[in-house]
Amino acid sequence: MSRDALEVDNTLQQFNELLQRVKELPISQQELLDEMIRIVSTTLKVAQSPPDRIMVWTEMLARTREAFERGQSGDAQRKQSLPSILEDFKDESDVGRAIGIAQIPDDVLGALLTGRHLRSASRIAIVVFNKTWEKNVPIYGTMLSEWRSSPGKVSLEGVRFYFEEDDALVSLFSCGDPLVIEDIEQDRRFEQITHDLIDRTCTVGLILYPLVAGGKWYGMLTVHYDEAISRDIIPAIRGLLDQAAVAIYTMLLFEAEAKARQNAEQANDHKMKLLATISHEMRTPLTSIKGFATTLLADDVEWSPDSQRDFVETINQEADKLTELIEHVLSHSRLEAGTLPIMPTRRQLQDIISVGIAQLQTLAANHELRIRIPPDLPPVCADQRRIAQVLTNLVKNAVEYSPQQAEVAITASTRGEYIQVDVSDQGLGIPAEERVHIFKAFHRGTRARETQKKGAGLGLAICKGIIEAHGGEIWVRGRSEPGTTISFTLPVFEADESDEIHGNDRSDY
Amino acid sequence: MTKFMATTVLIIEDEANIRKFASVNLAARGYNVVEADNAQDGLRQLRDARPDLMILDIRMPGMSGLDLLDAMSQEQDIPAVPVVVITASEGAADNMLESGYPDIVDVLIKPVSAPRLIETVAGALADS
Repeated sequence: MSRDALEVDNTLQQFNELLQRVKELPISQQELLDEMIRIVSTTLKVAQSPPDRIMVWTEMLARTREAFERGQSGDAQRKQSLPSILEDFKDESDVGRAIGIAQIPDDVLGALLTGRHLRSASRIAIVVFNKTWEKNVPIYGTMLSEWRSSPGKVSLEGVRFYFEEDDALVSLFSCGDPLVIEDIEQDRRFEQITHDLIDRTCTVGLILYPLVAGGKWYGMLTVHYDEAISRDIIPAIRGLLDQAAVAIYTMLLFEAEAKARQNAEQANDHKMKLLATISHEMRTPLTSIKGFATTLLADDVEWSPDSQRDFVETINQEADKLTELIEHVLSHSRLEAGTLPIMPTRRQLQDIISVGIAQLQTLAANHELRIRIPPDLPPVCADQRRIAQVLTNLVKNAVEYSPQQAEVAITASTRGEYIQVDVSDQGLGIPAEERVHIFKAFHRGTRARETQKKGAGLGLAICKGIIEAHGGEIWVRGRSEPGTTISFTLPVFEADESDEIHGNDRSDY
Repeated sequence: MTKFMATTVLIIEDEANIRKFASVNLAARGYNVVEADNAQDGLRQLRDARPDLMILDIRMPGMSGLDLLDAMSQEQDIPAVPVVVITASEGAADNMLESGYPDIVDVLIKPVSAPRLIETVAGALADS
């Protein structure tokens, strides 16, 4: 043993001797305690113990003195022997140290179990609320970590306790103090459902201790005993459990931060991929534009007027494709950011289609375009330009993936507070497993891959963004015949609504 | 530029307008041009037309340009031909030249100008 340890050991021995004397001699306790404190502090300083150990001892002794004085003031229930008080404080220090080095909630429970009052528990569990307990009761608590004295005991893992099911429990627990059930069999304050839950765990004595940290009441510790307990246990374990509360909260925060960071990194990755895809896609039309422009400019060849015209037309077509790509990318970004201007007004679907009909017919030049809108279809709340964009996109897809002369149909019907529009084709169809994915940005489905269609894969994502901003839904309809039907809904216009209902920003391009 | 015996260039590129660009420029300068819009047809043309040079797009749906190069090196009945690769990515371009595909003699990075196309083709043929 080192010299320091010997000294401390020595001090402890003196201490114990003094304790014995407390029981025997009728001298003033206060003087005695002062003497004890002085001896210990002096000895520890002389022994050059590490400062934190001195602090701990000094603190312990100061609190011992307070507790002893409290005890002597006559409150019989609170009377605790001096050795007992000291043991509790030592416990707190040791267990506190163990909690300090814990890395996961399980470790915290492990540390708590070394405390002398918790050793006899049959189960300890950390329960986290789904939201901070404030005025409104949190809906449920979920168990985060659990220790059982034997694996044979029923585990409550995955069980959610819905607090609203027991008002008595809620009102007792709400004041922020620990709730002690000394003997569940004698305690008639609670609803049967609470009894049932407790019964499953063969618990007799139960403590529900609120976990508070950072000003937030975020969960509770449940400590179960096989036998009846006394609420006197609480002062002895408060310190430990409060330390545990802070440690657990820190762990939860770290976990939340780590997850947030992971999400941010994924979002960043997504953005990087997006940029790479866009720049790649843009090079294709640019290659034709640059190519044919430089072709015309080359002075070692003379091109016929027909060729010249042909090249210039190609440049023009490719410029259009590039424009479309850029617009798609912009629309998609703005939809994601919620800044795409969408200004729904009262519109008839028929009018929206009429305005865009020329473009639709051009797209469907090699197909049979059929439009069937019931004349009594109610007006909708829609941004004409954006819905026309959706229809154009859907018809374009329908045309691309179906054989020439096949039918492409736009139909509509009323569905309660919505109208439903269906765009159908008789083409390749979409495999069932892809139906959810086709609306995701940059998704290029098997149809696209197999038919070698180029494009960034944003069209349907944009449709989805626009429809959902209108409060509608868009989906692929299951059907038995070959081909695809994509349906979307739009809300029927209500006479008493103001013209502009959606929160999308009005900023201009 | 006149040639006594027309040199044949095979263009494998799935984008019609890019293919047309390469094709009209080469044809106007006296080359005999053969086209394919996918790698499978490209392989067939390699066997049938016996080109002197191949311009190959790397990123094509289905069988890629690299798959074609693998086939070229593995199959005996496909002659080795100098290859000029077209790609949109500069990174891929660097990889190509160091890649250990010995037939790749040059790289064109999109967008390509007409003069650059012509001088690259001429250069690749002169070297071989």
